[in-house]
Amino acid sequence: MSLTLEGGILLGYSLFLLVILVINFLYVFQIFRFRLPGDASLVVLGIHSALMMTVLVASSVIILGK
Amino acid sequence: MSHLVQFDVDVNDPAFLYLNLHTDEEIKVVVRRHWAGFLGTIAISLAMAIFPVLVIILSHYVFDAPSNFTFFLIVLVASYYLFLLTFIFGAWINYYYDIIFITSERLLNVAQEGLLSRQVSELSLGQVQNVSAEVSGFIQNYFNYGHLVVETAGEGSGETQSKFGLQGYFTIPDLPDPNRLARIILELHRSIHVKEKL
Repeated sequence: MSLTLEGGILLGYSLFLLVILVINFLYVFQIFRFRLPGDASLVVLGIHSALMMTVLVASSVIILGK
Repeated sequence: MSHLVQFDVDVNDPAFLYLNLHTDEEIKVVVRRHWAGFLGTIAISLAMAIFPVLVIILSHYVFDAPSNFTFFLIVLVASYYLFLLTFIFGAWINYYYDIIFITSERLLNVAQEGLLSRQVSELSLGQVQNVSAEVSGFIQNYFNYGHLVVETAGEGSGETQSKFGLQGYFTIPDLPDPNRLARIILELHRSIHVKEKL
């Protein structure tokens, strides 16, 4: 019962990650389509990617450690 | 301030292709919205970022949470922060990609409106009748930014001021040094009329 519940939660989390990934992909597409030379777009994109990866890796490490 | 108002733009750069500039049309100034206009979003985001920390502290110290709940909480908090980061990133794109191009012939207002939606409105500088700058409140005066209202002979677009009929307003919010931009637009307007008379 416990395993099924955790499996369900992980499935929901995976679907959520998929939606977030698609939205972020669309934002990245916009940046590469409309950025101007010398602007701050790539710097902010790098910071955003690093923060997203930190949350993803940290949550994965904690979940796998359980 | 210099990064918000950019002069000496290379028109031949492929990044400007989507503007469909006329032959011999030069980009005089590229203006982005002032960062102080984004402070409200930053404040809301910081408040939202602190909220899960309080929930975690409560779950640990106030009541004895079962292991299932802890697992659910980790997934929930991770999802929350991923959503928050995506929200901030989207809000930043909406703010940063609102760009004003003042060319030798036109004023182009590119407004980013959410995911994959951009509105490009333009007006001929020859149609400009009056340009005014509105700087109001302590924050706007301190950072020197505000609204630029361009009154035109044709139909306008804007968020606050609009008139029906032939006359219209272009209202562009949160622009750095709006008085200087108003002067630049009026000077370009005069030079167009001088050229037409010659």
